[in-house]
Amino acid sequence: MNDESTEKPKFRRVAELSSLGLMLPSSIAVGLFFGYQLDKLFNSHPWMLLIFLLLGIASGFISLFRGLKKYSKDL
Amino acid sequence: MELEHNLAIVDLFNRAFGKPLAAFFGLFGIHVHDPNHFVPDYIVMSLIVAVLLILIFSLATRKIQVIPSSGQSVLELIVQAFESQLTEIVGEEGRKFLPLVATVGIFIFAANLIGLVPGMMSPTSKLNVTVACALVVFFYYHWQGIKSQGPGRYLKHFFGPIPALAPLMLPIEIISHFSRIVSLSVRLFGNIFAEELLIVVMLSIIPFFLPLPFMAIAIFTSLIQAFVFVLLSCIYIAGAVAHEEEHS
Repeated sequence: MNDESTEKPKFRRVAELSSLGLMLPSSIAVGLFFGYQLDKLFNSHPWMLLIFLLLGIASGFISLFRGLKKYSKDL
Repeated sequence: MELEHNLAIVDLFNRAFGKPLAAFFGLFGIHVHDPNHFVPDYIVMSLIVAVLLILIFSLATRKIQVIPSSGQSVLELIVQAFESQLTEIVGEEGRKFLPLVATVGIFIFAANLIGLVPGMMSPTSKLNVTVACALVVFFYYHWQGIKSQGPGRYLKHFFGPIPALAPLMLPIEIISHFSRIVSLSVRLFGNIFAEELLIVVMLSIIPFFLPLPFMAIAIFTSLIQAFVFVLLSCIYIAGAVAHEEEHS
């Protein structure tokens, strides 16, 4: 297992880790978008935006941690 | 913008097909203002990429032999690369996802590269095309997840491991799934758009030789971005199909 995992997925690891950078901003953007649209729908001006902004930040961090959890074993 | 101008091939396509297509859309009550600029450039270029790929692949696989010819062995190599990715990430049952993953990967790679041909542009340098690719992957992996685990068990993943936290986890999971579309499409679009813009800017400064190193880098970026897209699709499919070990 170790011989394979050191040689082959090095390229893959670079690609996988480079994908983590966009995870946080895109989650926040999606959260903001949902909040904005829900505010328009329910006419509840700042609240949905704020709640979903926080949820977006939380989901960005969770997916970031999930992406990094695989690599914490190697360290 | 000054940098945008119509490509000759797009104009040609519009002159040939613009009026019939406008008439066709007119049947459904959609009025087209300008039939000569009706079909946008990225659709024309996507069609060109698709036709090119279909031609190349059907010509190379017309006579499939046990001892492959040169064209066939190159294509076998490409397909094997995708297959080994899938089996490494998803596992042995990942082979059945090969058609979609390989198609998306080859299409994106060809679409990235065709921008380097003079007189053409990359369809992936428009956000619409990359969002389309990302949406295909998004719906595909959800569908496969539902198919392999059943709707109930698949939806249970969204509620997280602790039942008390389910109302909090549900929106977070939904946001993280939708953010995958955004990050997949924006990454590809941003890289290819930046690469094309850089080449155009360099061309406008000195039209000889200066863009060449950037075009060489562009080949590398095209490969990397197509690879990242395929890799992430494989990871998402693996996460949707995996049985329970993802959330433990």
